[in-house]
Amino acid sequence: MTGALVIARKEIKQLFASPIAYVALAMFFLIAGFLFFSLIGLYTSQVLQLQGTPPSDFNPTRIIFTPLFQDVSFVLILLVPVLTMRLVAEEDRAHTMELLATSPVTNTAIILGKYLAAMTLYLLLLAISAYMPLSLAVIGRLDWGLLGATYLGLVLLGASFLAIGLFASTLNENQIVSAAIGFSILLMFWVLGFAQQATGSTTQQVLSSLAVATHFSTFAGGTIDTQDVLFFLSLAGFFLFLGALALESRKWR
Amino acid sequence: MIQAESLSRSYGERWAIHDVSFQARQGEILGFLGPNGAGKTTTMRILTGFLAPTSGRASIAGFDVVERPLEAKRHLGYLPEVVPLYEEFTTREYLSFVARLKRVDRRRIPDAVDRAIALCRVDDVADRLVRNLSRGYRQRVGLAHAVVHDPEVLILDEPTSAMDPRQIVEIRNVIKGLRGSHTVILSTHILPEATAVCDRVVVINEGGIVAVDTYEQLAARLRNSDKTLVRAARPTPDLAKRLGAIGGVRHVTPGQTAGELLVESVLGTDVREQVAKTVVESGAGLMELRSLSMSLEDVFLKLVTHEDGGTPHDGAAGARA
Repeated sequence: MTGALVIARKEIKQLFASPIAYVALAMFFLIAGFLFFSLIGLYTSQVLQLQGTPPSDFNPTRIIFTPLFQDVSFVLILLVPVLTMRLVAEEDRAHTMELLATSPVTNTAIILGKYLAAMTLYLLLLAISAYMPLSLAVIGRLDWGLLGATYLGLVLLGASFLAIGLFASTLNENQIVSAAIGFSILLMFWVLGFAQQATGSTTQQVLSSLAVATHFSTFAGGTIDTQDVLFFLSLAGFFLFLGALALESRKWR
Repeated sequence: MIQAESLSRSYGERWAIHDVSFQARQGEILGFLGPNGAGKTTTMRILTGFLAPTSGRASIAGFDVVERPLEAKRHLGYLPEVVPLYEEFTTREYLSFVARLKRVDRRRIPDAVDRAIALCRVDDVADRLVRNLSRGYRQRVGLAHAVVHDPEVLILDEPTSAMDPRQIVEIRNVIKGLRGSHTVILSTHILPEATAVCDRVVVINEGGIVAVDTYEQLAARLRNSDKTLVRAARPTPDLAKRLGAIGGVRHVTPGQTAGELLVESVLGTDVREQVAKTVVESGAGLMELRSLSMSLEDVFLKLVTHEDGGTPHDGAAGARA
């Protein structure tokens, strides 16, 4: 574990010493900010149409934040590979993997350290994104339960996405190729949700239960289901395991 | 301290090394000598646990590198061929990270880093970004990273590449200073380096070990005859014939310059006295008489090239230098 923390600390330092963290954060907040702005506009026009007599189930949080974070979850498909592509690929390119691999740390510790660093950056990003609900909380009442469930969903979604991106980074020493592989795997997990038309109800069931979008939308709807929590955790665990395995297998190739 | 038992490693069909066995004793500097592509790096990578051997065993400080990798790596410092540097760190930050990675006690890290910086003479660049260092300095920072945790075993893959002659001498002195307290394996394709620094030499070629011994022993083992060089002021035509008649002399051949004669004699018989007497008595005027030991290049060429079946040329080193 000490080894993982040492590596995590180094990764965070490197992340913020390179432009990539700033570019990723800027890209994220530009898009999220625009979505937030336009959803506020949509909400305002709805309120005007209702002319002061909202129905009993009228929930501003649901109108603004549920679609916002569902869109954000798609933005993450593009963002995560950018954050993770250099994690292992860059070590290969700079030959520094030879230092890590010949130091008294396990491959699992190397992967976990890098994962921790990526998670830290991601959590920072989520923390900053809280300005959106908080700015509205100043002028109105929000559904904190719904927001809490959504944020938990985002943390879990990110945890699994980052593990997938990290695994992709172990496969190639070219960062761009790593990003492309990561993006493809993430997109694959996304489009599995489109399998509604797939022939055979069993196939359809299996495929759509693997789709990240369906699992995330439960959280975004305000429900915390252990099934979904486990789905994301096991997805993350599985890809972290694959990442450590990929590093281990290099010795034998 | 370092033990390799019939290590083999294949990449697909091709064997990078085959049946490599040797050991390095506590406190000695062992040279790994061989041309590029001989398998030096592959062997070192197996010893450091970076690669797994296809077959065979290796151990560092008594720990098997495959079965107990973490313990073995704890006692190991490794400078790879390409120095593994993090460009965005300063030298000091980089060395501190390596010290933490190598499990140096937290409180001892600043001291360990200072010691490595002083030892490898990188104090001038201690607070500069690694990105901006010259190649010579990068190599020295690389050596510093290998010794920062004061490991018992050091494996250095061509530690003096990319350095200028003065730096090479400095680094060699640093490495020589480790003798006794550390066990060092050092690979090189530069012959003088092996003799200048190493106690023993492992000569490796085409993935196999050709010889393991001290340089002097290797040279002696290769020689199947002693050679004596004679220079006379006024060589008479029959001098060569008279020298050839001395008991124990095999051949007499003309040397590189006029007046020089090479006297080849049976190994172990010292013919110098007789040769001197003969030259003086013939009135040729003895100017010089010395026995020739084999040059480094000769040993090397002999060891690693199959084609070179004959005895090595004594002039080879001189011509090369």
